[in-house]
Amino acid sequence: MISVIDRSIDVSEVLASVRDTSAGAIDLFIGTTRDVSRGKKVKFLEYEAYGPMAQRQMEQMVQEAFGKWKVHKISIVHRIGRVALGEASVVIAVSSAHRREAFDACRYLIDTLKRDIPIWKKEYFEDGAVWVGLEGSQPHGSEPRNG
Amino acid sequence: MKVTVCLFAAVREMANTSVLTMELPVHAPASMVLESLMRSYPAIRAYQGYLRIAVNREYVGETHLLEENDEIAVIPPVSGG
Repeated sequence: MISVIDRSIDVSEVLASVRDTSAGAIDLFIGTTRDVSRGKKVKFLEYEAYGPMAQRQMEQMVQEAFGKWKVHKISIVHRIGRVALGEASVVIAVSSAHRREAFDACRYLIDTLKRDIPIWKKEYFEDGAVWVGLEGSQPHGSEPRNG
Repeated sequence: MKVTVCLFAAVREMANTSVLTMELPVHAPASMVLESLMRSYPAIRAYQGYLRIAVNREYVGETHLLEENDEIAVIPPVSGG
C-alpha cells in the first residue's frame, strides 16, 4: 500500500497491510500534526502534493529500501488537504523477520520522504499562514538531489 | 517550443497559478524555466537556489535539456511528513 490520500489515514489498515506470518517485527511510524511551530500556536495544517510524482517517488524509495534491507512488506500513506492538530499526516509500516531491519528501513523511508517527496505543508496561525520548507533547507547546485 | 510548467505550494501562490505555458528554445536547459519564472514573478527570487526542477516526474539537474511535451514542474523545498 503506497498512496497519497485526501482523507484521514486508517492506521490499523496500514498496519494490517504489512502483517506477515514470517515477520518477527513490524515498525510503525506515525507523523502527526503539532500545535506549536516557530513559537506560535498552529490552528491547523494543509498539505499539498504533486500527486503523480509523489506516488512515483514513493514507489522508488520503497524499491530502494527493499534493495538495502531484508524486509518483508512496506506501506506508506501520506495525507493531503486540511489536517486538524494531532492527526496522522503520514504513516509508514515495515515488517521484517527481525527488528533491526524494520527500524532501519523505516527511518530511511521517513528521512527520504521528508527530503525528496514533493509534498508541502502550510501552517495556519491566528495571524496568517506559512509554507514550511524554505527555512532549514540547503541551497543546491545543478545536480539533482534524488534518492 | 511551448512547454507547460506546473507550480506548487509557495511558488504557485506567488505566481497565482498552478500551470504556466512558456515559450523556450528547442532543447533549452531546465535552468531556463527558473530564469523565465523569476523574470515574470520577481517575488519567486526569494527561492533562488532552493528550487528543483522535475521533468516527467523525476528530478533533473539544471543542465538537463528539455523536450517538447515534457511534463515540467518547479519543486520548492518540500515539507511533507
